[in-house]
Amino acid sequence: MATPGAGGNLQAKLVLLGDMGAGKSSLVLRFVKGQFFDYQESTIGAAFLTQTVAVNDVTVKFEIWDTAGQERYHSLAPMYYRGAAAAIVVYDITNTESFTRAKNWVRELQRQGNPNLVIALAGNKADLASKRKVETEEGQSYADENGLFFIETSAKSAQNVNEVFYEIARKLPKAAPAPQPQGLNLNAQGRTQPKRSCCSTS
Amino acid sequence: MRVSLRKPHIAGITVLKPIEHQGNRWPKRQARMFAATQEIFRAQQYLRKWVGKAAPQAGSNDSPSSRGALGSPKKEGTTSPTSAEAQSRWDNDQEEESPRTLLRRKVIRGELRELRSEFTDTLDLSIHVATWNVNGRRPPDGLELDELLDVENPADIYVVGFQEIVPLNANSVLIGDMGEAAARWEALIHETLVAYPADKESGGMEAQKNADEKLRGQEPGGDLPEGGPDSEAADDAQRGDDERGVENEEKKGGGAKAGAEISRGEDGRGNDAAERSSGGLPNGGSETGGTESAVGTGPEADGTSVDSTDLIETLEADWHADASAKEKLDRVEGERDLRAANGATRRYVQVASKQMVGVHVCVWVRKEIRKHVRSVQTSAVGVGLLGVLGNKGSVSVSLLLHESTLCFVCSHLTSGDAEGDESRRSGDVSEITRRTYFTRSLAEQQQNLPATIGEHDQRIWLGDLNYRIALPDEEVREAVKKQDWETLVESDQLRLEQNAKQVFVDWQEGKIDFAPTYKYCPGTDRYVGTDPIAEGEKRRTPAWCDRVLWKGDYLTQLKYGRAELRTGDHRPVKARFATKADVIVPEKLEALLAKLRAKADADEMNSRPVCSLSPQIVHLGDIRYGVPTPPQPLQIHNNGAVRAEFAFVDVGGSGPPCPPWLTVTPLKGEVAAGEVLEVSVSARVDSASVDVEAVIERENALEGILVLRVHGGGDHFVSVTGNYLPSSWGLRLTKLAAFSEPVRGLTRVDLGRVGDNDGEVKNAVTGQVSKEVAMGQTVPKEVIRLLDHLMQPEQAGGADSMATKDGDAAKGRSPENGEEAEDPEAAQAAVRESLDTGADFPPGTSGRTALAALFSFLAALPEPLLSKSILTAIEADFATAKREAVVLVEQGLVPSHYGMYELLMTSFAELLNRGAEKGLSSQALASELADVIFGRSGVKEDKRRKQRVQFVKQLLDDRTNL
Ligand SMILES: Nc1nc2c(ncn2[C@@H]2O[C@H](COP(=O)(O)OP(=O)(O)OP(=O)(O)O)[C@@H](O)[C@H]2O)c(=O)[nH]1
Ligand SMILES: [Mg+2]
Repeated sequence: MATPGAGGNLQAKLVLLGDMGAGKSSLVLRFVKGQFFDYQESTIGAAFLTQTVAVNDVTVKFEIWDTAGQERYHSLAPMYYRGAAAAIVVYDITNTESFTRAKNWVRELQRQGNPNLVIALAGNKADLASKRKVETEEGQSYADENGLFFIETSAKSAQNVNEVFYEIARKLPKAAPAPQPQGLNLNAQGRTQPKRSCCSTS
Repeated sequence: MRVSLRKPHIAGITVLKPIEHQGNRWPKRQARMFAATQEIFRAQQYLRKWVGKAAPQAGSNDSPSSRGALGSPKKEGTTSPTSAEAQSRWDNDQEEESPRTLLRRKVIRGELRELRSEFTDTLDLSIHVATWNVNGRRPPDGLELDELLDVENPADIYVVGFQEIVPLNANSVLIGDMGEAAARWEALIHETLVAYPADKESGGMEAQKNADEKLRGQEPGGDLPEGGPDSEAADDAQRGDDERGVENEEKKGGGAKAGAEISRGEDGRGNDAAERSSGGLPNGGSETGGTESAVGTGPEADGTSVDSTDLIETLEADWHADASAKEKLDRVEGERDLRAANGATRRYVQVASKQMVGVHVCVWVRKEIRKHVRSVQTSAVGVGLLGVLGNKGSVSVSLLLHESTLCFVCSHLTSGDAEGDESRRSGDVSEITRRTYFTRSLAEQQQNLPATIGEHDQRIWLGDLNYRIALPDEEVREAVKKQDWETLVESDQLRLEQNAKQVFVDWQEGKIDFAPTYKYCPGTDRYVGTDPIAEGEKRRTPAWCDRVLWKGDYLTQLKYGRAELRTGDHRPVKARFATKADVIVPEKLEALLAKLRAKADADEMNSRPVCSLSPQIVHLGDIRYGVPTPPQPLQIHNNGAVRAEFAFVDVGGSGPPCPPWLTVTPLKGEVAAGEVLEVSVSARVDSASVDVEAVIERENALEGILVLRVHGGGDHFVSVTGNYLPSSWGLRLTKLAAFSEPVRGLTRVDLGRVGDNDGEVKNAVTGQVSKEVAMGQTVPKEVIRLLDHLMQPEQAGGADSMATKDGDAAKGRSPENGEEAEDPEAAQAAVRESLDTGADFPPGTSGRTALAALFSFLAALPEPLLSKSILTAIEADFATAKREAVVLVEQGLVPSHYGMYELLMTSFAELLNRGAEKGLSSQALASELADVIFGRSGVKEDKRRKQRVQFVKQLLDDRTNL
């Protein structure tokens, strides 16, 4: 949940979801540390990173959860997207299966995520144009139909990586509920629990 | 695990609150810095609106610097551009101190102060300083200050100090002069600065203007276009507002009601004669020493004291008495106004004015930089009579110009050419230095605004310091005649004192290349005491009483000299300085903030614990029912720079931290940086912890995921796997009975195939459940084998030994047959293993062990022996139930259990009959059986358990008595 801090600063929980090998960790690493590794280890767990960005007149401190894409850990995902303010669903444009999985993630988020969740769909590995299996239009039209923010990225070339996060930061304040007095509490998630129960029963 | 999806539960992510968390670990300064960058960003918007914005004034002017004029209607007839007017102008132009602005300023001057050079440029400025002991005189008609102020070469800032601006008599020292003299002098300065025709200016200010333009470019919306018709109009309007300056100043002053009254209807100047502070509270007790001494809160000469109410009354009376003076004043100001109206550009505004008895200082700045002057404060220190009165002392002004702090100290020190007087003067300087204190609001303190002289970036000290030349009179006069300044300077007391580190250590003074400024016969160029000595004239050795010193990295003196104004007995001294101010460059500031944010993020990342696990999958190997696996190590490596706190957490966030069949020790703990901690993982499967049939369904694969949460460092998943070796324990009777092979070979396919429906049993016998058929179909071979073992005659002893410990059969004494395993659990496990593999029981297996295994088997059955409803009925009325026991049980038996029940009861009856003489009691058996039949719930309630046991005993007794 994006929690407004004193005077309009946001602290926002952001989760990355997507198929194993889609490039979630690579995107985060590029964004946070400006690094890229050809041999990025598969994530077994959920990496936690923070990064602050400034847009308009607010700073947004992202608390990023980079989840494991391996199917066997799927059941653990709700723990991370629950209470998140934003999600980046990542697929690999050279892998049709990963696009299908991305769509499943979007569906799951729409069903069980926070109703104000800002979802970005990122078609990663845009640098591998020759191996492309998922056309830009496919991603775009799926995003349009589902009200997602869509962008093709490359963690390798850094193309559009910051853009994803900045665009989310821009969308957050609008998506975030009007700050309530208790909204100042960084730990406001707990309090919103009863509200969300309605949409996480399925 | 899927279940967690449905739970209306918010993940335990908030457990990690990085901000708080990092607060513990971050160096404090970094945390502060980080907070600063957060806060400042919010203030950044304001950067662009730095000035020129209509101020929401209400409630926003609580800082001392803005305690001036605000919000009263324009007042007719008061036209004096007094110090207060300047103050009011300055106030009205002052950027509003909104919380945001304030915050921004705090951050810039606070946390970011050390980094100032990274986001500022310097702006070149000039300061003109003049000091004049005017000998108690008012400006004579026709006096021009052009030379003194060097108006041909305009400076950006003028600091003019006077001494003896009023004659130093008892009246002025104790009460004051109504500020009238100062007003006249200021009016003259104003006239000189403001009315000086622009076309007469030399190019000196051009560079300045360019610099200004440059600056304006950097602060979008920062300034009004200079010189356009609009700005002039705005200026005029502004001017109108300014007129009420003094009055409002009075009004704002806490507890200054009387003062405000006085000022109304008059032009308001002078009623705070002794205390004309632009920044201070009139009559407010909050001013510094000078105030007190000047208004007489200190002891008076005659030992009485004047309280402030009296003082105001006195002032009021005096004021009316001096009506003619006021008229004159009005005329002067009327003229000046006319000149302003006639198009003379008002290019300077006064930002400060302060008087204490005869010492007076006022500061004027070019209009263009006025808005960058803030937090003006003044302080007065009396070091005169009794060490506190204001006949000698200082008045000082502190101000913030852009990001640089300036301090101007104007002093009049102890006079006299007697031996030791110079030490007294030096003592005055340290006293003034010690006692000068600029009162700061909390907000200003947070901006690190200086409170003492020493804390300022740039300091200038001017005044009649009264130091003499330590040479015989004749020698001085001789040298003066020869203009041999060098000889004289060598013996100048100030220089001598400085060299001896008695005063102004580390302060600088320019080269003195002008004649001593004291003491002249007024109106002439003749030093007092020069031949021919006039009537009654004292011999006074010429001296450089009037001096200007400075201290500050940005100060360079350009000129040091005197002006040939013959009004009094001193010649004024003037000094021109080049200086610089640090000016914020918004782009640089933004870049710095971005950098700081990035650094804060990086620091935060680096302060997070980083751990890795090995292995990532823990293999536990074969897992037998009821037997704990050997613990496997799981290593937590702390690869980061900080201590890591870890805990295993539930997938869903609220359940137990690991699956019930796993034992993880420890479940939480800490690992120091660079260290490795070993956690042990083992499994123990039983029907309470695992649905064993489900495991067999998954082809005996036992799998669990442990979530290790490193506080602030993310989560790690650890898979734990094991291979279940199927056992007869924990399976439903129907499944078990239908499988004729040893259970170890049971597969998922078998499990699916074999009957799990009680109905089948019934259908198989055309609806009539005969005991034989039921028995044959539902008594698992394992039970038969166990009973068989028990029933063997040589095992009677075993049964006996079991019976000696009522209710705790499984944990008897060591077996008489030494071949059996020492540990009853292990012995039992061995029996179970034999049953599951079809092997013979281990040699020497005792009846006790077999019986314990039997009860353990029964307890592990997933379904109860008797139906729930019958159990409830029995428990509801034990008395009746006991009478009807046999019937009730027959009704209540789950059909698939029927056969086994019968066999058990028959066997037990047989055992009891056989073992009766050896002491095997039905009581002991009943106790065990009761737990099987009724389950373990409620066994702690003594009464209930007793009743249950009695009920079961009844059943057994019924059999044995047959
Ligand atoms: N060419 C190219 N390779 C990429 C890009 N992003 C990631 N990769 C590579 O793809 C592989 C997988 O990337 P990861 O970032 O580990 O993928 P992930 O989504 O985090 O995978 P899991 O942690 O298993 O869920 C790595 O070898 C990366 O080097 C990209 O934009 N272009
Ligand atoms: Mg990954």
